[in-house]
Amino acid sequence: MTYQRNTGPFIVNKLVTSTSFSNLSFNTITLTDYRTSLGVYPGKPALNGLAFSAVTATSAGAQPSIGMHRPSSISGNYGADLARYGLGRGSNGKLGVSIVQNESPVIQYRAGYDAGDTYVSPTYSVVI
Amino acid sequence: MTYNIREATMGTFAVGFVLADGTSISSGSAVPYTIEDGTSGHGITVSSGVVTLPLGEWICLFSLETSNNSNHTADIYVNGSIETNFPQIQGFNNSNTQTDLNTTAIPIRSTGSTTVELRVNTSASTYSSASDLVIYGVKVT
Repeated sequence: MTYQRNTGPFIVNKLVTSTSFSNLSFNTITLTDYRTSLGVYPGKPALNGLAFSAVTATSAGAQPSIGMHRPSSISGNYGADLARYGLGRGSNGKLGVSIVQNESPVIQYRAGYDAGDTYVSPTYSVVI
Repeated sequence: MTYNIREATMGTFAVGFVLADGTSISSGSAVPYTIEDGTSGHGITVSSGVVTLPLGEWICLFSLETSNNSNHTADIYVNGSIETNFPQIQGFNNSNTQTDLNTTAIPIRSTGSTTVELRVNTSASTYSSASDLVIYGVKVT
């Protein structure tokens, strides 16, 4: 695919309801609140563009949680977002990166060490 | 989804802001990002961390890391009012020397005088020069 510069609107969508997973497999965090500069975007739009994601998690164990963002239809193109070590609230320090192509961005998450990490509302994705 | 700005487009810009190591940040005040040297033509200005956006469509991406020894939060303000619809930065104490480097983002359609800033809720100072602000968007006439 080719990437063309996007003139907007730019989308920020975030996690509204905290979510956790009980296994160490890949899981999908559903982001439901799509917002543009003009307000809430109705429904679940299919988007094209460069996507970034950031994850904030409360770790269930002594190891970091790992959040990854990648589009559902393109495998292998994603960046990892490594949260802090230890119990407590994890970081959304690094950004996952991907390209979305006619799809709604989700954050695909994989716990590296501990099941049951909880992902909380500052978790979000940006599409430009 | 496609969307076109109907006004005449002047161009797309990506503008970087920096924040030096050891910069003091007061609770309730704007984080004093400054525009990186060498950028021009975009029309974005900043005064004590309060950024004024020219007419256009913009996305603002904030990151912040502090040396505060306790947790802190930071919120986006638009035209001086808190904007709670977008993610709050939650910086958590990490090894008693620094918080995690955390991020947030907001899309803004500026009237030409719209301001945006990031305010922390606990006084702190930056732990390193890693914190930044990137504004990308389209300036229109």
